[in-house]
Amino acid sequence: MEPITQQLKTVHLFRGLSPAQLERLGGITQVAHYNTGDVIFRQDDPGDHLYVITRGQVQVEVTGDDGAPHAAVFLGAGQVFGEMALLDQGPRSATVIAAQPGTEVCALAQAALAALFEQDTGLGYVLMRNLALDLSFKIRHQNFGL
Amino acid sequence: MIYTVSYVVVGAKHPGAVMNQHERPVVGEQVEIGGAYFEIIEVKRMLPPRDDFEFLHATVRPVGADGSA
Repeated sequence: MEPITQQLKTVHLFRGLSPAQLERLGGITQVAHYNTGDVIFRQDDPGDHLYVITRGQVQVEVTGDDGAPHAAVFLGAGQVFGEMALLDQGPRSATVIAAQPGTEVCALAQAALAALFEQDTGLGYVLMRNLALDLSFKIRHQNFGL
Repeated sequence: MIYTVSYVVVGAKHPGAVMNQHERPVVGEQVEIGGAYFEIIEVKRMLPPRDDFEFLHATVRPVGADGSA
């Protein structure tokens, strides 16, 4: 298995970080594995982690006013989820479910990330810049699907 | 190069996917999204590339159980 820093290098969220900064991020990263159908978190849960998919796929689904869950998007390797709660400290806006066996995600705790940003504002700037681009890309994906 | 691809499904009610891959998607190839298979029918650049990352849009359609599109 690749070292975690090698995997993080292939994720756009971490584009532009130095090897030393990737090492520091690797130090606060927890790796978790899920099978198809496992719920990673549910809509309206409190959100205190950001997740990066390093293997497999997840399904993001939103329960609307009709009470039924609707698939919003599938996300694969290299994609980030849980970032909205990280940015606005609100509850989870969607339920995320593993969609492939052996789905692997890296979890980064909001508190640990905030501490890292305080220590290294350059790292914080790069992550926030990349996070903004990722959100923009997801909005463009949604717009194409309309 | 790492390709961040937005897969948008036509011909079925499906939310599509966003994923990274090391190979550029090619028209005619198949991609698996959430356990179902889709044929790529169009690929175009969505955003300018940044460093080793390229941002693409791919339109796909469902593939039948017999592999037909």
